[in-house]
Amino acid sequence: MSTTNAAALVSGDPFEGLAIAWTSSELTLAEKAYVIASLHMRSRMTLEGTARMTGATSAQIQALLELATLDDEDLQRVSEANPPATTWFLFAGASSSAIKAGIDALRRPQSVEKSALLEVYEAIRTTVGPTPDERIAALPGKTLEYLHKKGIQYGGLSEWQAKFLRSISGQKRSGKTPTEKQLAKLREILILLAQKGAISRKSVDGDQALCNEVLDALGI
Amino acid sequence: MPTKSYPNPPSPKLLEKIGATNLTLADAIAEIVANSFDAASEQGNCIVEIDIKSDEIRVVDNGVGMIESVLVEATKLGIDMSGVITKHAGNKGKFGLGMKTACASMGRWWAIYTRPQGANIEYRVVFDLSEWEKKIDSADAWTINVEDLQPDFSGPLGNRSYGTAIVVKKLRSKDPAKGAVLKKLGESFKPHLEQGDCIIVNGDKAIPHTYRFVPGSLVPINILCGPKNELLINGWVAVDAQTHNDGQYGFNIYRKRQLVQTWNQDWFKGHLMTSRIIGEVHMDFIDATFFKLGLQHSDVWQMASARMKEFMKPIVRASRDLSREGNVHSPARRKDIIDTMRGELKLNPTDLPSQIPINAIIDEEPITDSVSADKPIKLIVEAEELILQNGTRISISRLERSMGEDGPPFDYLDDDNDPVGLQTILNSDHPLFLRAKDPRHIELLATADSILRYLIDRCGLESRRAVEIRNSWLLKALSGAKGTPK
Repeated sequence: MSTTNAAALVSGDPFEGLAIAWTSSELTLAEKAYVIASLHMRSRMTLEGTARMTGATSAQIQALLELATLDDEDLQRVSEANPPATTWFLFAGASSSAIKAGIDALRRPQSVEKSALLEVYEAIRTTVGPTPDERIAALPGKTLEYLHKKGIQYGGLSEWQAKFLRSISGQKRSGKTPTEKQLAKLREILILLAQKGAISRKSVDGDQALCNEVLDALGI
Repeated sequence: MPTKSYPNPPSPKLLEKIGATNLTLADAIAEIVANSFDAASEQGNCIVEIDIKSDEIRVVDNGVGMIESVLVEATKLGIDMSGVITKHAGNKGKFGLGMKTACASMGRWWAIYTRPQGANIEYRVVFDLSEWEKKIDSADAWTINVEDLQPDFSGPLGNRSYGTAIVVKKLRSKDPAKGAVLKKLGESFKPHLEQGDCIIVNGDKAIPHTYRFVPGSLVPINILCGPKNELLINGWVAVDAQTHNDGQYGFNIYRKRQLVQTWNQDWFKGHLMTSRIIGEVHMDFIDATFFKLGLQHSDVWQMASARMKEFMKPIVRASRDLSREGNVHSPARRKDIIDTMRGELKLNPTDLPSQIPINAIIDEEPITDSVSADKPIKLIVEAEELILQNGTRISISRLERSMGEDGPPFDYLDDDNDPVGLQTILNSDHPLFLRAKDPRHIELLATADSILRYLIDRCGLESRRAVEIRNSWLLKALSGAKGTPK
């Protein structure tokens, strides 16, 4: 690890250091992330300002800033794998176990049909499990029907939201999967009900198991 | 022309119909509790105990109770009780519909037990809708039977010297939610609860609602008005982070530290857009009987109101602006709106009041959703590939990330794998996405922009050729086909 070089850059002039760090072939990915994140903070420039100064795109800088927030060990692991830039955001948002799975996927022989990004994404997804949307989609119609009634009692739903919840509970009961748009709306309504206290980890309404089921699905 | 008179009483079925309202259980109980506060004894704080079971709801208070004639009037529909009882300033029950509507909406059987202060007696009236609907339409149909009893210490009123109990059975709701009732009562009777009155639901005390005001929106009020500037209005007003569609917004008005009116909205037009306005004012110059006697038309009130209406204009504007287009969720726009409001009020944008006013519950923490789920990265692979003339395969993907409101609306990054990865990053914080009616089109345009920039920046293509390829990809992406320009 070229620590001296990275340390010198971090303590030097931020504007000069940013351009050097981005184009340096000597710095590892972890060092690049650390130096650019430090100098970006010190320079007090906007994301676009730092991008202009380095010649990178704003998205590349943002991805590095996010990578720099990883634990040292995780960042080091990602850095050693030196994954393609399109996977940076995925690694930056992943847990230790998901990072390991993503790196393993990169090390496996690549399929001609599939990009490295997709391989990493699928490996991370498999480790992390279903997304909140998938968990919400799996909530039974009976649960949603109950929440419709409870939401009305808590005064937390507009007329439209109450109708929507009732209709989606019927849709679920008949075995239909909600569309992506419906899921987004359902998620919004469930969060609203949680904010209004109708769905709570400390429910006083004798429905704790159901509340937990919904809050777990929301990932709250 | 001769005129004949006929008795014209409503059908007894009306009582059933008034119960078929959209009142929630929490709303209905709040109506009854409002009556309890109206009947509060002047000795000590008002205590209302509520017991919610799956087959019965009880609301018992330690108010002054009702003598027989008051009880008879109270059970009539549409009676203005101010002509019957001595009302306290700030009374809530006005049209005499609250209690009957509330009881009928909760259940099909209810009884009122009341033990008037200073009399060793207890009265009971029972309403059973199944009996009531059998009655034949006539002037006598609305006759009620008041039972005159010795105080029954094992009954709903227990060993209270005086008070009123309402017991509702044959409930319309099979699973009444206690939590919703506690929450509603904490919101509706916040000023009373803060003054020491007490509402207990199944053993749990209702807690006064805590507001989360928009940071910087709390404004002190210190206004002198009147011909000689002798009338002082002081207090505070703030803009709440959420709207209130239940009417519980506006000003709580105090006289000599005693609450005289709750949620007054005389100084601005009350509707959802202005329902973020929450405030407290002390107006010691008004008479204790001010609201009771309808003195809102007096010169003193008119003068004070005119001054308050003028003062409130920037705050009302801020409440409206925050309610538009999700502005309240955007820190930058929220700050602009609040700074504009403070500027109009001649307050320093960063200047917060040095003294926290009485009863003001302030949350000056930055507003974030009190619950927010982690949003995992969602990758979208768009029209999987773009194949250039030289055989370069480009795998196109899209991700949504947070890059700040001041960041670019979208941007890209790429790699040099085979196939080449080209990734469009959509900035979820950007106002473009908050206001977008059809995000799908913006996502496609953002990807098209990435393709154009990639072809020029990385592949060194002339812009005209890059535009042709982009346009070709965009057309195919719009029609859902894979993009393979020739």
